[in-house]
Amino acid sequence: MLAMGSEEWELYPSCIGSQVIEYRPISEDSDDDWNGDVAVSLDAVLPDDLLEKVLSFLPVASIIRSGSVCKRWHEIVHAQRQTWSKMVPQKPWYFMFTCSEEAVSGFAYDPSLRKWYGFDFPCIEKSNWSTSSSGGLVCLMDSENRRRIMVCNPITKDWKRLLDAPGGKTADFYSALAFSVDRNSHQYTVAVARSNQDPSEYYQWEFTIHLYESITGSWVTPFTGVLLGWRGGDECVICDGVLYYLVYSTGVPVNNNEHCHCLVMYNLVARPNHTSLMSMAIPVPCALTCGRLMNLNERLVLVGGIGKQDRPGIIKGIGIWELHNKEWCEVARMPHKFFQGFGEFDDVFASCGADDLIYIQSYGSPALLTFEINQKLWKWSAKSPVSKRFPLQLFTGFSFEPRLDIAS
Amino acid sequence: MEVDKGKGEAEETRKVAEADRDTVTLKSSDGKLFEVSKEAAARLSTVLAGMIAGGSIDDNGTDLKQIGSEALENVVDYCNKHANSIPSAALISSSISFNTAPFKEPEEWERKFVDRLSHDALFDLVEAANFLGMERLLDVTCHKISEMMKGKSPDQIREVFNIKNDYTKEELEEIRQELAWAFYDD
Repeated sequence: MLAMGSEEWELYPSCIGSQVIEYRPISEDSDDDWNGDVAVSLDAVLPDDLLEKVLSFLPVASIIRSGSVCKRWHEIVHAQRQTWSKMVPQKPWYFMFTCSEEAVSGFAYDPSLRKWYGFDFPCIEKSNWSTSSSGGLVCLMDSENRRRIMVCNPITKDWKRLLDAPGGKTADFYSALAFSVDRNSHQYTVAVARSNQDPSEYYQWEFTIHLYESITGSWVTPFTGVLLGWRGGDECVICDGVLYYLVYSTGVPVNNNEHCHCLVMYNLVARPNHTSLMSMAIPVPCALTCGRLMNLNERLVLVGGIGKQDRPGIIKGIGIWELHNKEWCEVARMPHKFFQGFGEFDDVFASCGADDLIYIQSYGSPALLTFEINQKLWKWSAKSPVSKRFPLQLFTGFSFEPRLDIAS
Repeated sequence: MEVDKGKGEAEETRKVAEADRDTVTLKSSDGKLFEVSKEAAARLSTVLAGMIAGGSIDDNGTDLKQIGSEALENVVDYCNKHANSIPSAALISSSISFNTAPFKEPEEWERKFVDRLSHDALFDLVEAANFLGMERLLDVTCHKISEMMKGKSPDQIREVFNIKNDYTKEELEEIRQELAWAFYDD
């Protein structure tokens, strides 16, 4: 299987040479300063629980590799014991693949070791499926049958298909998927927000929230309402018990200052039957394209392309904002050199994130940029082994946390 | 009555004196004595905290038969360094258990502390920390061992840690096929 060591890919992307951030790839064979006495076998000294503790400090890929040291280690690595939940937080990986009608195959990027792995992602059949990740699991929704929803752990390849979701039979509406794992109980919640146009009223959209709880194994529909002059889309996220959802104006903006996206919120704990979502809506900070919501350690973050004043469809940059007391605070703007680094920026890009890491990828190129929100650090990934074979080839991807301790 | 009262007072004074002592004496399996800050010992080791609270600390040296003198010296050294390295304000919140807190990267002095140890000394210290219920020291020492594994191939790990490969060729091949992505460069 194809995979690339970071050593071979020092400069990336090659087209922008001088703008690349320098980094030192993690060497695979650096010698440690241990003192050379190998008489005592680690294996004889450490009981299982301590060996688990030692391994739990390693990046996931190294833990899995250590399973081939000896049989006892293999058992410990694959036992899915509770200790793995004490595993140090793992930086989210990014799974990148080509948008095509063919089966989805791609590469996963591991930012801890700066490596790409040829990776068979479980469940996913088409590149246009909706995905949402949280706490080591990925939830997927079939793009053709949006009742069909699956949950998988991409690292252990464990997966299951959930009971069919309500609604979702007709094809001419929007369905958004959000997913949240409780880190302590390992129980999860799936939210599907569907937005359907009223056949008789052009401006009227029916909006429904369906929720699945792994603890009950069933779906409920806590909210159904009508959006007037607004429609839903396919972007939502669960953050700190609240479902955040982007809605789009169906009217023609009167002037350029009018925001055509808004953020609406629905409290998944209180679950009110009746609430006016639009009265509490928060306009996005500026005219945006490709707006994406993400949960970074229970902070709600929005990434979007900033439109040009006169032509909002053309983006002049990419901004990152965080929601603070119902107001957007700008966290960062992508520096021009990185923005240019994507080459021909397609105006359409994918972004996603978890923990403190955001990934941004232009649909038109396999370049992958990371942003660490705490350190405000922009950095290219190691060069992706995905290559562009023809001009109109498009790429996409999503992030997930690599964890061993959680099952679907 | 008078005598009893006097005796009681003397007992009381002795107890106070004992409680006032700010160190405890620990005795290794090979009979060596070590003094350690009582506050640090109680804060860093659940086992020593229990012994101090339960009054089972022996002034002439509390026997720790499971721990050799080299490891005990390192334990005591760690406790004393720890006592010196944190500002007094942190002592107030010392009841916070390292058990439940998420792992914090070793501090500079902790790194230096474990870096100077030989393999044997490091393994012995892991065992001692485990025995004494010293969660933080256990984290720091296990973290050090994990760092020695980082970036190494399974072959190199076996070599560094003197571990016997008990797989047959076929078994190993099977594992690698199953998780081919993780074995990209072996």
